[in-house]
Amino acid sequence: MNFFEKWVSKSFKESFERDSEQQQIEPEIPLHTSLQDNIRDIKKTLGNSTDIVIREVRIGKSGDQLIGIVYTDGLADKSAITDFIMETLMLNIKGTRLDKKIQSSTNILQLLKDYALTIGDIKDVSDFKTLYNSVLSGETLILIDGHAEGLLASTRSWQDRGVTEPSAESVVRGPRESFSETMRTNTSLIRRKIKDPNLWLETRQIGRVTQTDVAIMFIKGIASDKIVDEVRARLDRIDIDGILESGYIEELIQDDTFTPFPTVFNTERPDVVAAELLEGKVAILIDGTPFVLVVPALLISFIHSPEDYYQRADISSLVRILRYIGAFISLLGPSLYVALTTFHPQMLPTAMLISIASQREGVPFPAFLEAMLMELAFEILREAGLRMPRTIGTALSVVGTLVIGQAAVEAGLVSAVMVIVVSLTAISGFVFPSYSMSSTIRMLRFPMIGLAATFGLFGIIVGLIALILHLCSLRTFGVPYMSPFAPLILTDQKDTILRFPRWALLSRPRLINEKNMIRVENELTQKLKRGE
Amino acid sequence: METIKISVRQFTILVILFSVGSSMLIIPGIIAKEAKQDAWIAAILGVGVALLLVKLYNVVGSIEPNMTLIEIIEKVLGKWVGKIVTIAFLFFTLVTSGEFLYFVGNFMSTEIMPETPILAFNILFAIVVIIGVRYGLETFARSAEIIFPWFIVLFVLFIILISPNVEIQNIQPVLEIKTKPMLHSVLLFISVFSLSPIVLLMIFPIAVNDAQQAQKAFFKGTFIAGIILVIIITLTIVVLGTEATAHLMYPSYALAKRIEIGNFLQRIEVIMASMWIITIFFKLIIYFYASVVGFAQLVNIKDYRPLTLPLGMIIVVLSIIVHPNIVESIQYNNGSWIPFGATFGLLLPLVLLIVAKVRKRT
Amino acid sequence: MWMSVLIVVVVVVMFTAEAIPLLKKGNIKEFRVFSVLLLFGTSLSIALSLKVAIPSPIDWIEFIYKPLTDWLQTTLK
Repeated sequence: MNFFEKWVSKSFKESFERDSEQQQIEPEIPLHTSLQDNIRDIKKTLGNSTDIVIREVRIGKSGDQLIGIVYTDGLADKSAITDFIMETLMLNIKGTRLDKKIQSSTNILQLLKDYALTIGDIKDVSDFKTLYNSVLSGETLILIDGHAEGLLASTRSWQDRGVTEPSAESVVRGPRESFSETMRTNTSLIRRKIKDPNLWLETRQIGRVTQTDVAIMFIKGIASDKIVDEVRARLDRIDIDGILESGYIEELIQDDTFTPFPTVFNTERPDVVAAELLEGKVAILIDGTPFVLVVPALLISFIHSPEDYYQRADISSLVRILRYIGAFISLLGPSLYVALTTFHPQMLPTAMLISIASQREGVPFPAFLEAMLMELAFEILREAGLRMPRTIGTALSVVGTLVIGQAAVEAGLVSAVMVIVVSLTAISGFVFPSYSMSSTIRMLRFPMIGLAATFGLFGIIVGLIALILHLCSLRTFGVPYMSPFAPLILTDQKDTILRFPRWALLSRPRLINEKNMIRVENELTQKLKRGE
Repeated sequence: METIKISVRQFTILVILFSVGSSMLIIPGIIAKEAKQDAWIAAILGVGVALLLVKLYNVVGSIEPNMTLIEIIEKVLGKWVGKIVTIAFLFFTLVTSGEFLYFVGNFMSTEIMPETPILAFNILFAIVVIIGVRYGLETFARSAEIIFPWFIVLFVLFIILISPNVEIQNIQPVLEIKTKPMLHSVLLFISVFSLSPIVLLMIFPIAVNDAQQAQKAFFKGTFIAGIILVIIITLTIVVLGTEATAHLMYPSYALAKRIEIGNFLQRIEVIMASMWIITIFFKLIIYFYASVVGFAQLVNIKDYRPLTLPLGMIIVVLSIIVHPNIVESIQYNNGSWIPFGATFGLLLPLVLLIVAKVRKRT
Repeated sequence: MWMSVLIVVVVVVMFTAEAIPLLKKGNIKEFRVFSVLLLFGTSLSIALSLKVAIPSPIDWIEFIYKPLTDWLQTTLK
């Protein structure tokens, strides 16, 4: 770790030296009294950007009160500005009592706010920093000549992809909506599911240049205060120029950098977030990405699918077991093949051994190389399939199946068993509902093959022990990553390998919630509490 | 020291895995040689004595519940005598760690993969042990919690699969044994099974969150481990017979070779091997942890982690030089190991107890 | 021979990864203990790789406990 830090600091020394002037954090400059001065400053700072619209209008009885309206084209709702700001100020108040008042009053700001602006959310602004921030997020600024203050009307509205079906986490049964890039849409999707006054939302801006909105969402009273505080502290510690995706935040708040395992959960499904919030976890929403982070993330949350809770308990329990088997094959499939064929052929039934041996006859590579080559080929195929334009996709699958599969076997480059093993492993890799976990397991497969090729089953067992040790050392926001397996919590086993029927899921995970463990206080839980 | 605490359940599991540890593979052969078909009775008696010894360890542990064994030694015996005893104790744990590593490598290279040099196994295994110790007690206690169910599953599977091969007449006639061989076999059993838990005093009761429950857990763990060993010993005798058991180096492994269900499930002695590797891993990791932490306390440094790499290197070297061959290792285990182990497993706690009592009175 | 070179390389890596940070943090005592132990370990390993006969500690144990062992063996026979 120390090497790494040193290397980072060394490699950046040059860029630091080149950056002779340190970027200064702008102090809060107050607004000027004169409208002209203000507008001149705004134009100068924004570099006359063409999407910034600046309008100067005159209001009042004799039209001698100058006001300025500033908004960003494309981010602000134009019709709202015309209907509720311009029209009101310029036409509707003409000839009313208000008109006269504007003439005489010294506090036009308050007057406008109270009587004239027919718009929902109005804020005061008195410094340039907030001003730029708001205008650039789509709010409309109203400046009044002669006042060192302005009004900000919330007119945010921009093109949105809309709520579509989730693409990475699909279910057969369950809600079909997924988050989109706009944070407000995302928070509304969650609020629509949880209509509780205790669902709290805290927003802050992170990223010195991008000023990205990042929100923490949790249910007060269910989420542990300790974890919420920890999330706040870690978010506040972030000092970066820009946040473009939740991955940035994930990397900056995770407990451990050097681990292949994800310790922050991400999802694009509102129902998953709602379920996690109900378990007392904390969601982090980031503007500009449909992926919402959830912490703390335990290992099991990456293996459970939301559908487990929508299907009947017995079915989903069986499916879960299947998924664990899939995980096992995905991690150890090729390494077991290598170990068995290279070091422990006596463990295979004789008939099978003979058939494998006859197939492997003429294959020029040892099993290890064969496995590595095939796995590598598959990984390349997979990666290429992700990156290539969609229209060429079919061509790739033909090339993949025919060339890598059949032709390679017929040409005697690899044995047919190896192709079966690799494809079985590849398919098993997709049982993970979470993409980040399946990439982790895929990655760990290679060292396992290496261990199997050098030490056989001993290598695999030792590798597994090392893996378990590593997993047990991980923590996610103070909660052991392997809980509720280690430390073993019996009451939480109702929702780990099996999923118990809905009526048995009485309590929330114990290590995440210190208090408020019981989901609902009713006759049944009262009875259990009294120990009847 | 760090204030890490493990739960009582984790401690119980560690005691079980630790006590089953190396014993699982070699003990049937050692005591079958002396006690013949009555080896299982010797084992049961041995478990009884082991529980008495656990009582002793519990009492020693409660002299100073907030200290490790090393600190207790130094406090009770004074600084200079304490240091000397500590050095002797560390010599004991380090040499024994090296010996366990030798067992791993020797077993793998003689029974499973003859082409691979023993050093390779030892280095790989030592690396994982070092990783575990560096992660700390809490982490490897948790890993034990995860691995233990698998161990039990494998064990039950093993019993079920081997049960068709049981020939009950192999243990008849019962109780034919004379007193002296019986005593000898009980002694051998104890020497392997129950002198080592003195090392557990490095984590008990200081690192267990409930000292009172931990004492019970110590008994419970030893008892369960004892039952597992008695079952294995009985199975080897009823399946292999006394003669074969006594002459094999690893009888329980040979036992697993007998498993054959239908035409497809055969030669799955790997089950036995993996069970053994799991348990010896935890035995070794506790021995090594004790050595490293003990060493850190001896020279009075706060963080034991920097010592793991050099000491790990030393136990790898030790694992190569301890025994020139397997015959000498058997000789050592049946001979000098008994008094050597007893010095630390029996004499040391007794001395500590007596000195502590005397000091308290004056 | 190659084995010894390999050992030296591994030891150098260990030293830089573990000892230098200790020294930087000002943990002189840890650094000393680490270095002494590492030196001891290295010399043992190199001796082993050069096939020098290293006395086994088991021999010492057997020597010390010989009377006791013999007594046990004879009385229990």
